[in-house]
Formats: sequence, C-alpha cells, structure tokens
Amino acid sequence: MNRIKRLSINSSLEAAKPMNRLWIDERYCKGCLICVDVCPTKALKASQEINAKGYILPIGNDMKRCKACGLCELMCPDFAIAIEEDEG
Amino acid sequence: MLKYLKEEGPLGPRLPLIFCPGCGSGQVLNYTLYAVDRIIEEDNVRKENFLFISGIGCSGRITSHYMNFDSAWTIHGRALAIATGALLANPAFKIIVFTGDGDNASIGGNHFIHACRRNIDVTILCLNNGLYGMTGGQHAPTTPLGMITTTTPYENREAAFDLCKLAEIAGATYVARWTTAHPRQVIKSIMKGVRKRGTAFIEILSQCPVHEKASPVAILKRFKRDTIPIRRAEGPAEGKTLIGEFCDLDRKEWNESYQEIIDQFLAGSG
Repeated sequence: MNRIKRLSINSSLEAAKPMNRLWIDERYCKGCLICVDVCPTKALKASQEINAKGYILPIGNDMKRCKACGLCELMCPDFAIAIEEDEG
Repeated sequence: MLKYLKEEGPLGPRLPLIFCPGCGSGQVLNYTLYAVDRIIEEDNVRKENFLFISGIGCSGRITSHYMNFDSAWTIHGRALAIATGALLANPAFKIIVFTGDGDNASIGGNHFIHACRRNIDVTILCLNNGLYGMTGGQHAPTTPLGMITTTTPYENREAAFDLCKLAEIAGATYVARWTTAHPRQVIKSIMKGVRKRGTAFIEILSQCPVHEKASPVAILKRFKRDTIPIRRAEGPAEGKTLIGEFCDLDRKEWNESYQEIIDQFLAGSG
C-alpha cells in the first residue's frame, strides 16, 4: 500500500466499486506485455497507442474479471505494476 | 517490492531498470525480492544480514545499482571468491550471488566448482540465457545445441554444460533448476537455498529477447513447453529440459568445519 501512494504518474484502471484496482507505472513500464499474456482471466490487453518512449503499454480490458491473483505484479520485469485488492 | 530498491541515486533516478524490455534479469530480481521479503518476515532476519554479490555481465547490474541492501559488484567470474572472503569475515551473512551463465560457467568455472566442493554457505542464482548478452550475443558454454548466435550463425554444434549436474557432482547441497516462467517455484527455491547451511545452486533459465530475436512472451511460452518437472519425467525426456530440485542433502558447511578446529585449540589452551 505504501508503494501506491508514492507513484506520481500512473494510469489507474479504476471503475465502479467493488473492483480490484491495478496501477501501471508509465515511467517504469517498457511494454514487454508479459502481464497481458500471464493474466489468467484476460483482464488486461495491449493498448492501441504508442507512448512517448515508443512502447505499447498494457491497459485494462475488463477489470471486473480481475481476481487480484498478483501474477502480473510478480512477473513484471520492471516493477511497473501494483495491485490494490478491493476491501469492500 | 519497491521498498527494497534504490529509486534515487546520487546522479538522479535509477529506475527504470537498465535491462532491455522483457529481460529475465528484472524478473529474477523481482522473485528474489519476494523471497527475501518473506525470509525477513518469517525468520526474523535483519535486512543488514543479507549480502548480494554479482560478477560482470547483464546479471552483474542487478545488485549494487538497484538493491537497497549491502551489495558488491565485483570482478568477472570472481563473485564466489569474494563471497568466500565475505563469509570468512562475517559467518552470519546470508549471501546471495547473482551470476550469469558466462560469468559462472566459463570465466568463473573454477571458482564455481571449488565453492561447491568446499560447501560454503552461499546461494548462487545463475541466470542462464544461453549466450553472452551484454557483449553482443556470442556463443557461450551453455548454448543449447542448434541455437543460432552471432558467433554460431550456422547453428551451434557444441554440447552445452549441464550446470546442475556439475554443481551436484562438485558437492553442492541444494541444486535446482527453474525458468523465469515458474515464479512461485523460483521463490520457494530461493527461500530454501537461503535457509540451507551450505552451497545452494539455483539455475534459472532466463530469456534474452534481443539476441534470441523473439518476443519475451514467445520465449516464456517455449520455456513452459520445452521443460518437464523431474518428478514427472521417466528416464531422459527426449528433447525436453528437466526442471525441479535435483538434490537436497546435508553436509558439513565450510565455516563450521574450521570452527571445530578453532574450538579444539581454544579448549586445549584454556
């Protein structure tokens, strides 16, 4: 939880409650898209846009499917993903 | 896991990591921090008791640049020699050594087998990507048969080192092999290795998307497809790499055996 507060630039994939939240740090992500592949429920997908650094970042596909298993956070090589489990 | 990383250095921000997109080194760093985090919590070990040592190569960049622990970035292949010295100075250290396959198997091959023979209390994480990544993708002693690298453009025809067998025969007490596509198993193995009194050797097959000219996702899928756990394999698995824990035994640790001599003399003089 400490980490999430510290991120200054991030894209929150937040929607209506109750839902798990995923934070992708755009400063650190290099667009390898391992997270999109390992997600067992396909809650993530590759974005259509290329960012200023030339990387294709992951974005939320359907965050209602996210079970907060943490596999994307665990397998991210660049420490760019954090999951916040919904407490409600 | 960012609490264990140096986000800011004297010359500005250190993150994002220097590694190429999708590199296995970042993943292994992530897994190691998960394992270390759990050991700190469960075993009540202080953060100061950990020491991270690395050699040269892509894997050498992991420790002192990013980890907010005691760490040393040492000379090529000699990470284990420096780990031996550090262990002599302070036997309470929990030492984790990051090496690459070139660093560990070719340049530091002798240090590696003798560290295993002496059974010094270190955990060796060998990131095996089958080539020399930092210098331009040349052929290494661990390159699998048939792989194309920049110095073997017509396929590699030399047999590869089986580092796990080498470590087992040389006398390591814990030997395991996993890939970067097996995160939970890697974390479990690292925790076991750190808790083990003696040499723990964990080979982690890692991906180099730049020199293998494939996407990291494709290489991770290949790791899943081309490996078979040792408990499920009957006999030599044709064309598949064995993964799993190869040995887990107890043998007297190097420092302990010397401590016995010291204790003998202390008892004699007193």
